[in-house]
Amino acid sequence: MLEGEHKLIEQAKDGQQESFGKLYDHYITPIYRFVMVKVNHRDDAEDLTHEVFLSAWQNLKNYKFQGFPFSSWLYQIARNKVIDHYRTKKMHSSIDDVDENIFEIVGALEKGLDTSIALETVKEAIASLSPDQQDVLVMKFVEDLNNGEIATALKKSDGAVRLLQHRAINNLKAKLISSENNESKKELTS
Amino acid sequence: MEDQLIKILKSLKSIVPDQEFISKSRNLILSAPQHTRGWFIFHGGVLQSIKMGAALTLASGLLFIVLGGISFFNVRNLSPVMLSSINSSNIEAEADSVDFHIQLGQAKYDVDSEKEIGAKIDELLNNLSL
Repeated sequence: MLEGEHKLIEQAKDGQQESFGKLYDHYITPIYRFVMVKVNHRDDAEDLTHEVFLSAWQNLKNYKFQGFPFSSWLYQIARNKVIDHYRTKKMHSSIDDVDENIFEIVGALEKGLDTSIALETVKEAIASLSPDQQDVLVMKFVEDLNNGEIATALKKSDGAVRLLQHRAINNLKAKLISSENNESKKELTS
Repeated sequence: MEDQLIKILKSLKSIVPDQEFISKSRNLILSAPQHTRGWFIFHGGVLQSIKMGAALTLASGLLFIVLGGISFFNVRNLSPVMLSSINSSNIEAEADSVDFHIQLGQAKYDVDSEKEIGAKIDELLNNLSL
């Protein structure tokens, strides 16, 4: 949570652009990242992220502080924008459509990690999860939000968030084990 | 495996937006006008009322057109139970025959009850003579 966030929001509500600018600077990266993981296309992610902040700025007077960071509200807007994006364009996330840029960046990092799991496999597994499970994984492990913040953003209870997280991890594991087994079989047959 | 998964998920933190996009988007957003409270009142209350009013007006209009159309074109020509193939004289004859059956039934009842009454009177007279 940004220091003095509540005050900045109140000032932004009064139309102070500089205050909203600070909020924008603080939250642009996590929101962009969240959208990027969901849509897998850089241009779409930029357009949607822009729409999220434009909508936040224009509707800021609707925002009511409920004890959670401003980010929960932004994530709610972002989720709705992503849903609208898929609904209007009737696009379906396919692993073939994924923008390679996202994985080039992560791939570079992967080299530094002590892991035997191929990133390609992980991205396939993540894409196969339900939207809620994807949201929970990103918010929890990428953005380090706590369960309360995630629950607010997803409009779910804390318990439901914990359950989603548990299922998401289990599903990821199951898919990875399954793909590893398939790879082993392929190697044996070849 | 879970640790490895979490490491990979954390590696997604390296995704960052383009600086050019950030500055362009930021300027565009901050130069856009904010919705005023009046806009929210209009959008939330007045606009909804207008929508509801328009829907009711359209529904009433449609109902008026349907009812007016039926009466204009004469319901006799449209109603399936009033088709021209049904002859009105047949219906009248049928109605007469129903009435006829009722009259016969009434006559039979009168005759039967008359016999019963007669028998009862005879029985009473016999008792009195004794």
